[in-house]
Amino acid sequence: MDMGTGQRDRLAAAIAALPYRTPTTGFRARVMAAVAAEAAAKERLGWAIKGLAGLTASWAGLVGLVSAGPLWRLAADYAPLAAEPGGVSQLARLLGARAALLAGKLAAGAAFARDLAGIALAYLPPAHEIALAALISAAVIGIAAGRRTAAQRI
Amino acid sequence: MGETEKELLGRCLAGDTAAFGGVVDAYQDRLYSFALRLLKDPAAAEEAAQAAFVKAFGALHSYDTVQPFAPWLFRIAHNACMDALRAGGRTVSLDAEEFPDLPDCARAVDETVSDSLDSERIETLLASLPAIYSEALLLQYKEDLGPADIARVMGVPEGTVKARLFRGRELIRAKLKQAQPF
Repeated sequence: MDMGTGQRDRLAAAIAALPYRTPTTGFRARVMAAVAAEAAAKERLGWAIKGLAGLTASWAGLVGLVSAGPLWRLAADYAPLAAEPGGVSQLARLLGARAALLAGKLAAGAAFARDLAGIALAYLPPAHEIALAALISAAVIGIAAGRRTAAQRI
Repeated sequence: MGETEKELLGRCLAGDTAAFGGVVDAYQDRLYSFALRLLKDPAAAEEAAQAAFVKAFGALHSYDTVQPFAPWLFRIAHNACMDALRAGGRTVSLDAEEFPDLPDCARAVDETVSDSLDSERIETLLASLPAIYSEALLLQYKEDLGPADIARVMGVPEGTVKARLFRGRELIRAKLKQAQPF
């Protein structure tokens, strides 16, 4: 039971002829202010992300720079060993032992950091927490970079 | 607007926030009227229209410039209106002082109904329909969108849109018949 075509057309024409309402004065200004606020918030977020990415890249660069020397020395220590007869298997065993040692150190370091963070979060004000985090980061980088040659450590 | 819609949108996408003012100028009455006819509350309609513009600005990068802009914008406005309807509280305000633009629905029953569908009568009839029907009718006849675009706006299958359009017209027909029983 549809409406007759004529009536439907009249309905279509009547709806099409409805006037558009106008919002109150200042609506456009409010919208544009909200849009500008949204754009500013987006820009701030963009800068924050860029800053974070820059900081991360700086740290990564620093770690790379500090660990380049020890890694080169490590390679220099192991290269003659690998050249000897049966040296490859010996090298594999040595590297396995070093990896296990490093894993143990990392696990102990993580547990220590976790305990320290628990205490810091419970008692320290935020500024001290940040300072402590920076110190811990520097210590971790220092440990990872090392000062001794691989031969001395094995 | 002097510039074409595409040019304006292009400038917006290039990061020109001020260019969005042209989009607001072009669509503010359409979006506000659409929201007003669904929410029946001028303050809620302005809020929904503003929210739609801000969301549209924030999501402009996701707009496919090959597609027409109006259905995309009305889809956002539809969501803003649905949020407002769900939030409730201030969705209906038909007090003559608060809402002078729309006629009082109660009058339609009492007054003598002529054969013509003047804008006051059709406004009353649309306001008396459930939002899903009035929205479909408004989008088709007032905004000149096809069923496929209306389906995108309302987030329902095209068949549902056609059913809503049919049902909306039937409801209006029934209301007209009820008011004019001869």
